[in-house]
Amino acid sequence: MKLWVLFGFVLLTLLSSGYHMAIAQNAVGHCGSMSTKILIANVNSSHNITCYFCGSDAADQVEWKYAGNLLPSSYYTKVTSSVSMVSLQNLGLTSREGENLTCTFKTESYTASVKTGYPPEAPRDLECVTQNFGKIKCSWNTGRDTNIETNYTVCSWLPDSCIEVGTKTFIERDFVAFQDLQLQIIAVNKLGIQTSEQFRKVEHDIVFQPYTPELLKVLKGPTDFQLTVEWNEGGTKYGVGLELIFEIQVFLSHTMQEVWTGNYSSTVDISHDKILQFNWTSDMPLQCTAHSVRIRAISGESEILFSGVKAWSDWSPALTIEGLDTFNQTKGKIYPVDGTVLKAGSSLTFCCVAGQGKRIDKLYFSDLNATVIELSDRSQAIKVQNVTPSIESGTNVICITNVLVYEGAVIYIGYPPDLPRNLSCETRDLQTLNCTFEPGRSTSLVSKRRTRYSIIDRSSKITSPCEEASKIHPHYWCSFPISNGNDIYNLSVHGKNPLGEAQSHITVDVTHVFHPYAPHQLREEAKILTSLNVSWSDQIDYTGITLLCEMEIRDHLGSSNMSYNYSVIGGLKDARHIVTLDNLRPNTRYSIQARYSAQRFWKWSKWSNLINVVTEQAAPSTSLNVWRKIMPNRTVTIYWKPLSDAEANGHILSYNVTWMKIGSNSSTTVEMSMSSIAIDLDEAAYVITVIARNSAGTSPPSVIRIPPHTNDEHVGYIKTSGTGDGFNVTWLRQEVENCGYTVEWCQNLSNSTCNVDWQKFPSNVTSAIIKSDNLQVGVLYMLEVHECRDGGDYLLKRLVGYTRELAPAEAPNLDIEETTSDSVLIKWSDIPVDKQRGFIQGFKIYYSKLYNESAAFKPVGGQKLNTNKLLPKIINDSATRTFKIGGLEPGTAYLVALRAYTRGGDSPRRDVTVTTPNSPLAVILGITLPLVGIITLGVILSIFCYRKQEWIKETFYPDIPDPNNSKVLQDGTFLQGVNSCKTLEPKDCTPSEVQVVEEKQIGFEIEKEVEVDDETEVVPEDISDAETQSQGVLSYGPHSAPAETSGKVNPAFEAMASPTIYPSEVMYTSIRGPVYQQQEAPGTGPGTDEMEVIVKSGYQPQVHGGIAPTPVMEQSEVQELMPRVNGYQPQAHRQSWSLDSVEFPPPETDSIGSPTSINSQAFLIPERMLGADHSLRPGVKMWSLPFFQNSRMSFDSNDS
Amino acid sequence: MLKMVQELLHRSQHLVDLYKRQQGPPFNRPGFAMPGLSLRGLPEVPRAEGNQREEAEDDEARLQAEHEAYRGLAHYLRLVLDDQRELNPSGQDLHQELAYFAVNVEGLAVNLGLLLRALGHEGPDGVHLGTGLTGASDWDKKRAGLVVCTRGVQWLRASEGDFSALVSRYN
Repeated sequence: MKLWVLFGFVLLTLLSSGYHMAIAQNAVGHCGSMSTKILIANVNSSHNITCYFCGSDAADQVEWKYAGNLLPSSYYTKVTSSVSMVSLQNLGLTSREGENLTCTFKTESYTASVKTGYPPEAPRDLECVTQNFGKIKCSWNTGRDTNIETNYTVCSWLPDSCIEVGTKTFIERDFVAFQDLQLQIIAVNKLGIQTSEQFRKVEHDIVFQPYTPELLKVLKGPTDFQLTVEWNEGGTKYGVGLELIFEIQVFLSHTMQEVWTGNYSSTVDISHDKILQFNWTSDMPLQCTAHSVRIRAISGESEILFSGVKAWSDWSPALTIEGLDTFNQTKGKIYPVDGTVLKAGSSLTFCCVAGQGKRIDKLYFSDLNATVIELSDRSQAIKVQNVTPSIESGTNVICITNVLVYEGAVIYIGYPPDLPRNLSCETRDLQTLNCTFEPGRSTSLVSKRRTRYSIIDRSSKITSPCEEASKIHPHYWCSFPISNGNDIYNLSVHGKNPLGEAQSHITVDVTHVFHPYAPHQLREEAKILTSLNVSWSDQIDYTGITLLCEMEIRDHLGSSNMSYNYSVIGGLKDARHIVTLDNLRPNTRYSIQARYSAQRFWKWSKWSNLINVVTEQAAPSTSLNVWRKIMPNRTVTIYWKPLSDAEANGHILSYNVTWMKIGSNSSTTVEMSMSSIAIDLDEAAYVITVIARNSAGTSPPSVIRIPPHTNDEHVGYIKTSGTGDGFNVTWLRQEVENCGYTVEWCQNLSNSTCNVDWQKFPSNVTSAIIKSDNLQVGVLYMLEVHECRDGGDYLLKRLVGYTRELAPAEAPNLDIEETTSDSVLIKWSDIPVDKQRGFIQGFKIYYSKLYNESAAFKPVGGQKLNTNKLLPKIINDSATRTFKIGGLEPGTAYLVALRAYTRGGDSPRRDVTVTTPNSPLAVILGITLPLVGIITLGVILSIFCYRKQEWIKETFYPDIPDPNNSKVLQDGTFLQGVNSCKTLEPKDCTPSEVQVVEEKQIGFEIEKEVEVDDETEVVPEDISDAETQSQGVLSYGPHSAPAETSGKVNPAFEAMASPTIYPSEVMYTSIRGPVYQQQEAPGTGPGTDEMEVIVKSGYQPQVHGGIAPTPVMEQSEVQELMPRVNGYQPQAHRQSWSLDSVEFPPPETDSIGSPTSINSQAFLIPERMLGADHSLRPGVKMWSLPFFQNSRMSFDSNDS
Repeated sequence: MLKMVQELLHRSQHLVDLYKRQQGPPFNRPGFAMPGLSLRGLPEVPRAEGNQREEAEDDEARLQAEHEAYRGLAHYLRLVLDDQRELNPSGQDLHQELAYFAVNVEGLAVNLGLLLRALGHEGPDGVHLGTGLTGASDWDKKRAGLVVCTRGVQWLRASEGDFSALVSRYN
């Protein structure tokens, strides 16, 4: 018993530690069996299995295989001769079916199954899902995979029961609303057992997940952009009617790129499976590439009805609609296809699908630089945001393939029709309604894509087409027939194009919109005195229609516009209407036109044709306005003013003037066409009558009385100021019983051509403002006021003035009357009256020293002001004509200016220049003082010279010793053995001067160079001086050939060969250079001319007085001299010049001793110094003469 | 005829530019050209073949080719005009220019026909010209119009050279 207890304990221990062994039926090991047939064990556990063979010695030759692999002999051991045992250590995870372990000896073979796994984990994460609210499915997470069969038991205590569900990991139960669910799951397998926690699920823990929708089909159409999706709602699967939301997703099949996702809501009908449909519009034609669609669902119920968790169903399998890029067409194509009309502002995708075997190289949308989207290997697209309207011929989309095939399409982008605006209708004939409107925004679509408009009667549905605007009709217009008895119309203008349609409505009462045509053929019928008959006709048949006719009458002066309205009854076409126009003025040209409106006013018609009519003449209606002017010699000039057209009533043919002496019965009448007449009368009083006459009669007579001769000359002129545009004239009444006043004015009474003008006033007036268009500013007028009495008109007052004064137009003429050393008397003359332009108030005088023309005037007051602020000497007396300017400086020029001024301003300036004479004292002093000074200086010098005459002689002109008196010459030994010419020995002349005499010819050459190089240097004069004065000026002829090449040296240098003559004792003159350059050029050999120059130039130091320089030498002589010359050479040893410097350095000691020509800047260097000692050659410290630069190369090469 | 050709050639570039401008991008881009489009009755200008053939035979052959080309060109210019009236209804300048060229090119073809008849050639055997671009897409109309215009320029340029050579040879 104890053993069994112990065995049981061990077994439980093994089980609890994860070991499990299935005990074979032949555990004791019968021949021909294995110790274990089926082994189910934990992963990583170890086991021994024994094989019992029937044959002897089997254990020595046994083969073990595991999972088909032969096991090494070390894995198994021989128990007996027929029993072998294998040891399986750390078993790995086998397949779910397990692995076979086989022991084989000859014909005996035995197999056991080995399966490893894990014990179960406690189930967790219980989740309960319902799809129809009828059943609920609860599933759990099993945790780690056990690899061996695990069974589950679900226990519930409401009701208290357990259900074995086998290997399933869920359990289905009925869905009971408002009931909690309590479950516990027990997992059991061969390796162990685990029990979950107790799960409790309330309603809001329940998940509702609809069934996966059944996607039926996906269709393209009706346009290339539209996609239709159909799916089965599956209502019969649901136990209750509920709200479902379907999510539809469209994506590109090739790239799996989502294009669009949208929702569709539906209330489930549980009675049958409803087929739902949804249309989706793509922004890319569906032919561009393949599109796939899938769908899923979720509950759309509110939380009130279901408080649980809502979950999406699984996606349905996708359905695909293929694009053109999967077809095998050979021709490429662009979508949208050619001719497609698209709406502006939208975002569109254009694509090109290449033919089979081709690919796309470029894709253009108009001139837009857009990014190309690769849809597939044969399809590309361009996405365009906010497309703009096309031009008239459309927008081009072009696709170029790799084989240079151009595919294209023309797309038309525009707008749908705008609402017709400003719609209005009217009728001209009460038979047709004409409606006009404006189409609003341009659609950018033309030709067959343009908007077509029509007008529709909403009552009768009658439609009539509309026309577009044109040159004839500036608006869009439609006409619609009016039917009898119908005055009210409800009309709509409807516009339609490929992108849409629009319409506007209007209600029209025909009687309110009658717009008659204008009266036709208006013409004059008859005229009688001041009346006129005119007639017109109707353009169309207006029979029985009451019309309002407005007649407008304007006279040609524009002084009166009259308008008459007539109500007329319309008649047949061309029937005439006639009216009489009264109260017109005689002899007046009138313009007449007429227009119509309906009796119920809507709008006026256009005006009829315009006619011009002149009424008949009549006698002048008013008497003439007559005035007279009586000259002292009793020549009376009668003036009258022409009648206005309104007064004349016709063309005035003549004027009749009749005068009659008072007290006499005889009269004289004159007929004339002028507006004035001069009559010589005697001193008696006269009555003069003037009448005007036209073809219809005469005017009332105008009478003026000429009083007997009076002496009006005593009435003087009084200055008056104008008012700017006239005169304000006042007068005193002298006769109470008078017949009025006349103000007469004239520009200049003394001028016979003066245009007399006048104005008459009634007797109660004693002041008047005289204004006239003829009055001018700046013109002098003379006015007279006359009082009309029984005997005639009598002068009361004389005035003179300007309406407005201006500055004088001219300056007075200015002259210098007298000039003294400190004053000037100036004089000026009057300004002509017509140039005064105002009353001269005075004059302004300026003067200034004439420093220069721009100097400011210095006013008389002594203040110095600028020109704009001068304070002149002002003479307020207009009669003054002279002025004396004092305080001037003698002998000084002055500028004197004069202006006249009026109240209107200053005249222009008149200038005159005057110079004051010098004073006599100044002249005398100016002559005398210098003379005295000169004399005094002469006397002082004479005294000085007298006293210092010895010193002056020694200094300036010492005595020249006579050689004949020399002791040397007197010594006879000196002359022995010596040539006769030797008068001086150069050795004894330590400080000597070299005189180089240069012939003129070389001077000319130098001069020629100088003219080119430096004009300021007058070489010939120097040469001349040297020649004539024989001074010790060294004039060096630099154009002697270089010694290196020619070997010729100026013979004058011969003298310099003497070693006792030091270079420092040579006189230096100016430095010149450029002349060397040309002469040292290669190729300028010792030509004849040059030799002559050399000969003539002959430098001859004067120290060699015994060797007389030969002014002219033959060439042969020179050539003989050449080799012997060791004199100074020009610094033409170019190799020693520094070419870098462009400036002359200051003279240095080494070269200061070099002689130079007066025309040369080169110093003369003894040849021996150059030849014998190179250290003495000018080095870098020597003169730097840029002008040697050109010749440097040749000499450098010589050096090399 | 030489002057006529020169006058037409002078105006032809304006026609091409005007045409391109009215068609919008990319037609109006500088240097834009379209690969050849086959138009029945409007052959391309043959390449120069050198002087291997006899001159007289060469001249007559060229004149015949030009005669046929201008007949076709006049026909197609009218079709292009019709198309452009539809595509560019307000392009009056282009319409006038196309009409001008259609009339003058037809006159050129007639004159060439008379010349060939005088040289003893029978009239053309009624070459069947294309029925135009009826039913073609708007893109095809635009493209064909450009080909017609540019090919017209090429033929005129070729004719100018031929006629000049003939004038200089026989004067």
